[in-house]
Amino acid sequence: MFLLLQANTTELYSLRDLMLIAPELILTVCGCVALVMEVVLPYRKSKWTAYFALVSIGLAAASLASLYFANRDLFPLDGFYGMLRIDGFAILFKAIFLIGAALTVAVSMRYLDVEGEQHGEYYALVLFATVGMMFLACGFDLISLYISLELMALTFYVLVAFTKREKRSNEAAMKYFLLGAFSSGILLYGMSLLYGVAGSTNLGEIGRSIGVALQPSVNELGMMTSGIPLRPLILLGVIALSAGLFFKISAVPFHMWAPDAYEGAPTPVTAFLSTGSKAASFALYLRIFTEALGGLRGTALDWAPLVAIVAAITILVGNWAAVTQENSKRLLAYSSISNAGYVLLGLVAGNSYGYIGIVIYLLVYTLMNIGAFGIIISLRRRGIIGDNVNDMAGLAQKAPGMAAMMAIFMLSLGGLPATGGFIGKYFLFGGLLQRGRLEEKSWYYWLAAWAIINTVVSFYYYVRFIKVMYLGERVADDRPLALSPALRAALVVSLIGVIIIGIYPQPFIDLAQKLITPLTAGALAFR
Amino acid sequence: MTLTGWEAVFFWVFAVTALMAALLTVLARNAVHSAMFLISTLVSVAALFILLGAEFVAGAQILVYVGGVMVLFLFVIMLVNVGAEERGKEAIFNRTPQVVASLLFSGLLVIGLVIGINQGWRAIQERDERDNRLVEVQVRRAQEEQALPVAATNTMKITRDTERIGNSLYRYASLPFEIASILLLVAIIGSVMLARTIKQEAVTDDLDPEVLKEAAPLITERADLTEG
Amino acid sequence: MMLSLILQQELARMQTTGGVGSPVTAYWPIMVFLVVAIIFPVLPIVLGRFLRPMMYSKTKARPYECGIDPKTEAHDRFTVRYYIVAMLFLIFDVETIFLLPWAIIFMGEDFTFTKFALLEMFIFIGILIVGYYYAWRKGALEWA
Repeated sequence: MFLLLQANTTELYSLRDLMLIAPELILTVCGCVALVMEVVLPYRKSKWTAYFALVSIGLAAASLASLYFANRDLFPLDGFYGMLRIDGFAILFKAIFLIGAALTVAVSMRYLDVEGEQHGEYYALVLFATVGMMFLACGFDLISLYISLELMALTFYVLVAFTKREKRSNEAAMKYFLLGAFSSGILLYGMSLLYGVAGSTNLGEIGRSIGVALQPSVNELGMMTSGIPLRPLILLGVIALSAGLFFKISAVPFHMWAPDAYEGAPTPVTAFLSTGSKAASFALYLRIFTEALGGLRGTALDWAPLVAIVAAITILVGNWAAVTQENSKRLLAYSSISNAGYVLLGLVAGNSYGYIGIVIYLLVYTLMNIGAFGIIISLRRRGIIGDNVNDMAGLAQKAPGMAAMMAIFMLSLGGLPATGGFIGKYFLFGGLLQRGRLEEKSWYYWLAAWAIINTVVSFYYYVRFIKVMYLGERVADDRPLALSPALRAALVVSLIGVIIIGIYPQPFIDLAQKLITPLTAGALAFR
Repeated sequence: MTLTGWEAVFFWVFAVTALMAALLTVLARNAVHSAMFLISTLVSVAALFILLGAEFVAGAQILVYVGGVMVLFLFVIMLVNVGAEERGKEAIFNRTPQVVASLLFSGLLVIGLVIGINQGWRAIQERDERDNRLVEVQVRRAQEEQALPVAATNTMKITRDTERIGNSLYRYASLPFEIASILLLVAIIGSVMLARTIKQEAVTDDLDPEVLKEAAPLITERADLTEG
Repeated sequence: MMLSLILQQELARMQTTGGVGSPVTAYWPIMVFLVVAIIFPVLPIVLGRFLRPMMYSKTKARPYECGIDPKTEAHDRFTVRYYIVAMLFLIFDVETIFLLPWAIIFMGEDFTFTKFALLEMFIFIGILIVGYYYAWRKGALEWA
């Protein structure tokens, strides 16, 4: 009803609105062109589409950079009637998605050749998924957020099923689709409850309405009317939203789809699913829970304990289930579940330390996870799937460079100092400690201690890869690894990123601190 | 808001029909029967939308869900031939833990909703009165209603409901509207790409040479089958 | 008793408003149609049950009384082509739904909005035409 009222303003859009979504526009147009290229080009020239996709991601990155440099002080810009907001947060996450998409395209080319499924649609779909993610990062209205989430999810359902002659791929897509559609429904339910409470779909409006609804006020008769009557509805909305989002980031107890989907999907898609899709879901999570529901922190409806408990269980289950896995994709799926738990800790902390931790961790995670999956891809051969942990046996003798890279990626996933993973975890845990000191509540400390203990456990299975590579019996297959230049470049880029962030993190920290100010400011405004 | 007169009668008729048909959808043994009951659920819900004064939503419900989605459902049911193997073998409610868990959670949800809506309804009303937002909207609605022309059948005034939806969809929500077209494009790609037969792919030169070599006998075999 | 009360209320309202306004009154024709649609198939079945002579034979109990005996079950598997057609139909059905409210409002008093709405819809349809072109060239619309 109030949505309809808002629509009555007669002002239309200007070119400025289009400038704000220039990166997405470029990707959309290029995605359509890639689709037409797929139709026009014969099979053996399908790779041109991949190069074209890389170029278009580069163009989008350039326009994103120009957007950043045109607005260095990062004043949040609203566009399309407040449907989206371009601020530091949005730009930062968009950059992460573009890096993830570029690396994914680079590691995909050889894999699809080996699978015999080198189709141009794949690259078009990757571009469209990136468009969805980027709109998720800058969406500021439940409608645009939901539809971009669906765009991303639908694209991933198709991508997971991409090797359609493979039974595992089909099964994975089926499971992912059913649970994903179900979780989208729950998420939408939570959104509609929030809309009912707030009377608007704009996140800022919702934040204000909820703040007003929770404030005790005095009416004309001098009676206290508290926000209590609206509390059950808000609570239900928060629970439904959280449940839907927990599905998307594969947090326990909604993690069941992840191992199956990750194992069955084509490996590059797994890499993109575990990094881009997860980071985008976290962007959505952060946006809604800081801008719209940030006011609930410290009230009776505080969602932090819920998130903290889920994070603690997620870390536990992810790490312990990973210990017994034999399939490396499945193992990394459980590792990705536990990592979702770590990232949730930053949200629990809810201060600038925690947010810096989230974005740095997601960036590093994107690099190291795509790197690790890239190495698994390089083991893939016709007839050899290469996704068993023991397939890596003796890799150190066959390809010492690859083995060293894999070792670094694994140590970084574990969070060894001097790697990027350590910096992310440092800020995530540090944020918790800082919050605990500020609020003088001991459970923040206990949560941090819990996460650290489980991190130690996680080293067991990460080091297992290294043990197998360096000490394992060399497998019978003597042929050297056939690496395509693109795959090699992607691996090197990931490696450099992980190492630089690990050794010299200061510029990244400064940049992250500058870019995430909207979140911290939003959280402070409510206090 | 209380229902009176025929509105009440129709509400109860369609509400009960929707619930019963939904229940039968879940309970029916045959998947095709389930789909049929789902159609009656959807039609009843469309009727409820009309009672709410949301004609466009009702029309969309009939066109898209009853006309499109259900046809797709039926095709898929017939495509995968659900239950040919297990027809009449398995009882539906034989997994006690799952049944108990789902009943528990749906019960919790219903209780939460009832409490939430009962308490929240009054609060929202109070707040809207305080902000004068509701009054504003009601006054405008009433004025608009006065000005509406009477339809040719002389039974009703032509509503502005669809116009209102259009105004908010194509002004306020124009960006999500364009994103929706990308969403539909992805749906086209997915359905075409995943459901193509290997023969179709061979015709349009979309097969890896080695896959083609492996599949060559299969393709000719299929061709015989379809011609015969 | 109850029903007559409701009828009286409704009649009173019809007199005051001239039968214009409530959503129910506008849908009376459809309600009548619905009732007829229910009665039309149910009545012959019920009547037939009472009127027809009861005679059974083995031949009559077969699925088809004449011609060849059925060899397979009635629930046969459809080919996947039906699925593609149904899916494409559904997608373009949704697109059509979007056209309806647009067609109602795009020619308002404000001409700048008309230009904007036209552009908007051209982009929407343009993106879908890419998909249509793709489906067409990939042979999804060919039956053989």
